Amino acid sequence: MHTSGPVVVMELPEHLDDAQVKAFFQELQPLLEADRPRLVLDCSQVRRIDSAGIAMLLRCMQEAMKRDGDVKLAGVSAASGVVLELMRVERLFEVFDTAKEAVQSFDAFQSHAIAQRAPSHAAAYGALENLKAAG
Amino acid sequence: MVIGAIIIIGAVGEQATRSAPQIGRPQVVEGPLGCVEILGRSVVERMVQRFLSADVKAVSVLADARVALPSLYQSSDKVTAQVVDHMGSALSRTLQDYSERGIGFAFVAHADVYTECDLIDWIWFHRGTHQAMTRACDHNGSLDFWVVDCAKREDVELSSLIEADRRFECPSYFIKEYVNQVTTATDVRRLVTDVFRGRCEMRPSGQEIRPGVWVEAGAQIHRRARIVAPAYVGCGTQVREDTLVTRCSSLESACYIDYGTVIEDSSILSNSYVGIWLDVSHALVKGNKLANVQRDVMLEISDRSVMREKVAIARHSMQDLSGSRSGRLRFASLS
Repeated sequence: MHTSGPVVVMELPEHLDDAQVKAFFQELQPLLEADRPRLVLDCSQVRRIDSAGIAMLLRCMQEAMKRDGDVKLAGVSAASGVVLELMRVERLFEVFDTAKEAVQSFDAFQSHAIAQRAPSHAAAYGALENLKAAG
Repeated sequence: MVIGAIIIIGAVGEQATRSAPQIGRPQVVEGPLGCVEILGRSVVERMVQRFLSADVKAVSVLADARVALPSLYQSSDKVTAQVVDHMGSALSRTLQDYSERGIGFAFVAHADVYTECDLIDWIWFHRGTHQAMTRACDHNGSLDFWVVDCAKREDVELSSLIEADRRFECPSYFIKEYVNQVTTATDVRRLVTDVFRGRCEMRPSGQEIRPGVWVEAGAQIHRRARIVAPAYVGCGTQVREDTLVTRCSSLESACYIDYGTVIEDSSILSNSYVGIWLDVSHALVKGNKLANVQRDVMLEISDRSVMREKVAIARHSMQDLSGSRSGRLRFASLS
């Protein structure tokens, strides 16, 4: 764990499953109980995430919101991203490519850094038109 | 070099080259999208502001009698607005008036054109052509935006400006800066995401209460609602508990987002009620009309508990409530 000013960056374990989650959350809890907790969960090492891991992320968010704080995600791999999306959880968080960008986003909006899937309406229209053309 | 500007707000059907494929298709909004609030202010208002920043001497907003005038900032006595019965003669009169007041050149723009082009550079380009009129274009083609030489107005087929007639040939000025001709739901969503992602100079109105979240005075957000940046919540809008507003979504003024609803990659236009436990994604919503920009479909929802138009609250009442943004008014009909 390392801190960047008042923002705390926590590196998530490689396997975010039932076995790991409990111990990890115990480590997180004091941070979440601070006034206006500002937390970045660095997911760059995560190789496996299951429903227990997802539940923990949601609990972190809930606890932070109770105290007017926030939790942001960084370094979400493609595989983890798919799981988060599948569970419709990704949209609950601001997701950044790197922990540094996530930390900076607490002080100033990082319009260029946000790693949410960019809605590409033009592409969607294009694809639809192509489908129509193809019959 | 004295410059003026005219913004034409036409009825649907007289609109814009690029909206031509849209004519006859159901729309979320009656009238030009340039008149509806997007991130707190209409495209018309923002263009008026850009013209004033370019030090134009006069800005005239000419609105078809069938179209509601957008609210405008009373930021300058240089701005006048008129509701007109015949756009052609109103345009002709305005150009003549400009000419008599010593205004050499006038920008003529349709309501839905938003651009961040260098207006003065364009005037210099136009002067170099020695033509009566120059039309703007970008990499997608011609825009409904011209520069007209007021003294040579007789040489210009004014109907070509109103109907955006492609047959009337004139030199083109290529705009390399940001352009969005807001004629479809997709254009609105593109504008909103471009603003949030910093692809243009436009910024949401209101206060950035935390990085990437802009909220107008008078908005009420329940503490159990989650607003994920970037997002915008307009004046007088209520966001109830357990709602989620995420992925470049905007809620314009006087909306009500009811319990447990998710607004994702969507814009909810002014005075809209969105019911409980809904999942609104990739959409533009106005009242009971929803356009899904991914599926290219427009729905009209008849169940009033799902979506409906809220009773419009007079803008000034919301200002009174919030005590902010003074000086904003709805122009009265002048003719």
